[in-house]
Amino acid sequence: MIARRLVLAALLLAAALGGYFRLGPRAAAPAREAKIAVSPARPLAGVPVEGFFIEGVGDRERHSLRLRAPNCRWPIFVTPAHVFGAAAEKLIAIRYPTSWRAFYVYRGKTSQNFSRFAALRQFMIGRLHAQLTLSQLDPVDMYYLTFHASAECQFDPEALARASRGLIALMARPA
Amino acid sequence: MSLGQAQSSTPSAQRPGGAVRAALAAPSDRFLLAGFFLLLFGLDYLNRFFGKEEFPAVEIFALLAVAAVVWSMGRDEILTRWDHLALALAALAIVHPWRHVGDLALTALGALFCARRDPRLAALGQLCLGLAFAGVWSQIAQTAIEEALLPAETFLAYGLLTLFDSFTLIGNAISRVGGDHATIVEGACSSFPNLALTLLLWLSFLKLQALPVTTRNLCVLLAAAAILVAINTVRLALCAWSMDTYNYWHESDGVAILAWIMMFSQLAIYRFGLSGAPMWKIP
Repeated sequence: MIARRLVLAALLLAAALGGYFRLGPRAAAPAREAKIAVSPARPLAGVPVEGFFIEGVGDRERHSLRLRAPNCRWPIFVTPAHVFGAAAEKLIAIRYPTSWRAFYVYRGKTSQNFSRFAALRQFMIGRLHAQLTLSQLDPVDMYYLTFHASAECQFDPEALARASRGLIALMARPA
Repeated sequence: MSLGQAQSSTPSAQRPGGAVRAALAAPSDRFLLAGFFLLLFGLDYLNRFFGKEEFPAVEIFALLAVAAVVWSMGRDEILTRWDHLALALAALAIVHPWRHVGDLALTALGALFCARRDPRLAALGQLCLGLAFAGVWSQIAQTAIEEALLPAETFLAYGLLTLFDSFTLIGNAISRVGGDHATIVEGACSSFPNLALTLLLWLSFLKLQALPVTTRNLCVLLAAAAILVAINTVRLALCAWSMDTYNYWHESDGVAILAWIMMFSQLAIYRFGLSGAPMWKIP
């Protein structure tokens, strides 16, 4: 019977705490996550970002931004995608010549072979931590950018990582 | 029927409020389980009645099944000390403002109860796991498989569309040949979240009527899932047909129409399809 009474005490305590922290006037809640999107409502054309220059929206589906870089005579297309979601990668890839290359930037790291599963694992750990501690998850931990560029153009991975952070900050909608 | 073990045997139970006082003084397992799930409902589901989130119709149905199973326990003492400890910890865990902590607690409780011999406790465990799966695990499972799942679902819609006109299939996107309309099938467009919900609805129907999992009842589940995928395939095809149909079926009244069709088709197939001998006495 003692065990049952202890469970009852825990239930009553949980009801009191839950009523206060979840339903009360000053209820705590996990921080809402920011969203990244290429939005025509917020034109970014003409904005310089870490050595790159935004020309405008890059495709008719409005998935990509079109960038210019001083050392590249071709445009560079940048597509943001949430790690926890399905990007239209094949649709986007078909729009560019096969000779073009794709650089993926996630959490400040640039690679040409993006491991979605590894990124997802990192994201899940980060999101779990953010939700449990009620802290804000950095959009850099949620989104990766794909840079489609001509094979003729050479890029410093660090420069792409810096540009990625700047672009995410520009495209982020407040939570 | 009593909520507490000692209520009918004590004089205090005869007075107004006596039943509650007796139940609080000597709580039965049924009383504790009812209290836990009431707490879960109040903290994790009640606010979804009033907010912008989707109304948790299937989850409410599952909680009704939980109530039916808990009620059928009567005054039986079926929880062990470890169950009591797990129930107390789970109750304290669901206080956390992140709603999915409740799903994690249900996962642990479900795993604990599922292994038990008592069919009512095992049923409760299955419902806990079903609620947790619909709440959090289905999203993770979908993400793990959607690289293969979304192109497959897009292919089904593409196959339907090519019966009527020329379209191009590009991974998880469909584009009309010669047109300027392309549709990308994203995770939220998949039938997977609804499949997780129909699994929970099937489980709820079984437990409400104390029915066993038989080959026939599994076939009913498969039929319901097939109907769901078929409706979703038609929805994807309508969205890919043109910008006008996309706007109606994805952004306007068409969303509610398809949601009601899905819901009623599932309710009908489970109401009339499931059968079997009850595994325990339904009060």
